[in-house]
Amino acid sequence: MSVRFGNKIFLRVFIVFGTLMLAITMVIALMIIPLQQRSLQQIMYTQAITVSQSIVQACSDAMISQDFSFIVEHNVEVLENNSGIRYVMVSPLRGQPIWIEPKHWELLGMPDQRFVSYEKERDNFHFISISPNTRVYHFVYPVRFSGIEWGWLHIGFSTDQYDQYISDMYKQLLTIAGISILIIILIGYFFARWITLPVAMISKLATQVAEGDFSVKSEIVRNDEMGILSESFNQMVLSLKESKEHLEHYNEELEQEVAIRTQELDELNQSLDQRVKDEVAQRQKQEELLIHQSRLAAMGEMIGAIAHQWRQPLNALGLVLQNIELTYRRGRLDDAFMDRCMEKSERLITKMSTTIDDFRNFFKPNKHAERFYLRDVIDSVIELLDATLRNNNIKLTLVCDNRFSVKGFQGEFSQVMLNLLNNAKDTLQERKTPEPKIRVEVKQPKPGWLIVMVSDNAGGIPENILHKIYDPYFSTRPEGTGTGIGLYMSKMIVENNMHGSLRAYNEKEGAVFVIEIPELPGY
Amino acid sequence: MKQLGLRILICCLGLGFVPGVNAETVTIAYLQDGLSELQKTEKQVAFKLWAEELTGKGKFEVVILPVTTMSRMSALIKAKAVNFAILNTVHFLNHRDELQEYFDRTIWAVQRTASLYEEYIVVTGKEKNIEKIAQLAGKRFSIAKDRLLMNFYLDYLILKAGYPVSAGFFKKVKETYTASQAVLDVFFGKSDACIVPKHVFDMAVELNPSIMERLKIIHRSGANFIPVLIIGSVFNSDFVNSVLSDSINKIHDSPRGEQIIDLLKIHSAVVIGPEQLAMMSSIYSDYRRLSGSGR
Repeated sequence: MSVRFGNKIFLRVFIVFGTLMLAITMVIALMIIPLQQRSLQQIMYTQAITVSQSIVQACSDAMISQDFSFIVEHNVEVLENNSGIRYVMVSPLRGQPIWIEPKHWELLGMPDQRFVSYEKERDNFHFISISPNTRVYHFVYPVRFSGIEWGWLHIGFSTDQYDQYISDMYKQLLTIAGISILIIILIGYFFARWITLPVAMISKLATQVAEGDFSVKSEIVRNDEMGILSESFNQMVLSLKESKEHLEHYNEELEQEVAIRTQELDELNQSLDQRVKDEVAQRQKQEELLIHQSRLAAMGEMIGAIAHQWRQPLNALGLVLQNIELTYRRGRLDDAFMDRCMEKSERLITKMSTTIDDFRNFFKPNKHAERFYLRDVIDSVIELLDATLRNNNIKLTLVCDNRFSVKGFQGEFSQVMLNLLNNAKDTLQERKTPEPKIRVEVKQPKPGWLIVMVSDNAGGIPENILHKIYDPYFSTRPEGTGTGIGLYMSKMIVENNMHGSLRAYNEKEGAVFVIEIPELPGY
Repeated sequence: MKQLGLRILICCLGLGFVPGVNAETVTIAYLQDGLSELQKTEKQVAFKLWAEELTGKGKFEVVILPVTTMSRMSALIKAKAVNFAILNTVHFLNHRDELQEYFDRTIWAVQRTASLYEEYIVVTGKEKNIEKIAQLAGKRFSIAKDRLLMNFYLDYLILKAGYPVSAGFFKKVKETYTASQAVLDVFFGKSDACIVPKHVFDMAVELNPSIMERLKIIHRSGANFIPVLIIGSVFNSDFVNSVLSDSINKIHDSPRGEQIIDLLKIHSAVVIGPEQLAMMSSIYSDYRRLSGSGR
């Protein structure tokens, strides 16, 4: 199997390795250049010191005796024997500087100010240009004998050799870099191949495995991670092969199981429709039962109310009868008295009869939705409860605009109001609230919507039961006095039949029930 | 190498050992007096290279032998212990008659410049108002050290100017290491005058043309002087002579020969005849006459 340059892993390994090696080579080269330059400069410095000391030593007597002829002669000879020296300038403290070149010497009237500036405390050197293409290593050496300063010695060394060394060094470095690149490419290729070949091989085998060929086997045998990977791959392929066989077998079993389950489901589906119908019927039956219970409870309430309503006329009727008897005994019973008593009695009986009709009409179920005024309905409910409320000294306040009307089932809304007012009355009665009062307020918060708020000052609903007051059969009344279906039915009527909402919350003094209903159903 | 050095050392110390002339050894002796510059290291190296070249060509051992005095040199020549002698021309002229029978007729003249003859000039400062040699009396004078021929000529000039002895003629004589330094002495005012070879003066002027502005030449000797001679022994075989002759004649033909010439700081060596020494012989005779030592 071969590895091509297009192979991404191979290419990456090759590039990373090559770049790394090249970077190392370049760093080493860049470190070597300044070191080599410093080393060459040190060599030049040493050479300059040696030559300077030699000249100063040879010319010491001549310098002291100002034997300039010797100085010139000696330095001319020095220049003849040292082709690397371009010039010597002997600059005495007293006297003219002497400029000596290999083929020329002269007395300088005014030395180069640049050279004069170099004459400092100790020896120093500068790379300077003496012509556009000529550079020299200008070395300045102080001439001192027995602590007496005599002058300065300037020597210009040719940098040809230095430049040649540097040039050669750059060439060598370039050659080395070139060779390094070639070696890096070669080694990099084989290194990358060595790294990526097994990977590529295993990758190819893995592709074959992915295509479903489990007969492949890695032949890589190496004593490293690649060898382990190869072995693991073979084991993995073997495991996959076994797993596939298991899976095929399991699939067969599963298909059989699915067939059985499908058959069972078909059978179940056939009976499910019947079960749903049964459940719906049972649910309807339960709801009808609830409604029936609710009506019975309402009837109970109604009978209690009738009893309250009848108590006064019955007392009045009793008094009429007692007056008739007393008048008779006194012998004062005459036709006129009798007519008055009869008329009064008939009036009382008529009122009692009217009361029964009123209650009957109140609970009569509506066949069709119709528009009704909330004020009328709430007034009739209050009238029904008037005797009970007065009997319990409960003050009821109604705030409602006569124009507020909704379209719906008036009887059902009456039942809702009766439940809410009865609950408030019962709670006020039960908790013996001083100065008990109930407030009914109807408002229009936004166009098309009305809210009816029933609030009392009985202290409110305990928070722990607030979330379950609408549950059917939930009641805080003593057993036998409350059915626990009033609020449940009220919520059902408001939300399902009137498309509104019923909610409750506590205020400072007591509970507040809020009915929110649209003026028209489906608003 | 060690053997050669030892033999040279023994000879220098004058212990009486004389290298013999035989088929295997060729001795080249030079007289240090008048040629002390040959003692310099680079010239010793040149001699060594020359000896090696001759050895290679002649298949014999070559010994370079320094001799301190002319009397010693004469003794060695007479004892046939020297195949070739390198002498200052003054010594040759001085002992020519004595050693004539031991010298071969072939003489090589060593040239320091392209010209066979050297010219000596007397230089002084322009501001010195010195026009004649006689005016140099009581002046400071510079002359290159160990320049026997030039010294001889200076003595000759003084004698010719009418002064009996040269010793007290100058106020002070400064011997410089090089001839050009003598010129610089006059330039820098350390001396009033000097005598130098003309080519040295020309070179000094070439190095610094302002020299010509400050100095003047008050005497020219004329190109008459050959400073160094190489003289072969009359006992040399033709083979030895031919090897040496071939080596000297073709010295410029090889890099090694060029290197030898360069180290010796000479131009070349050429064979001369007696007539080319005639002018020097005449001056020498005149000198001897003026000094009262002539026949």
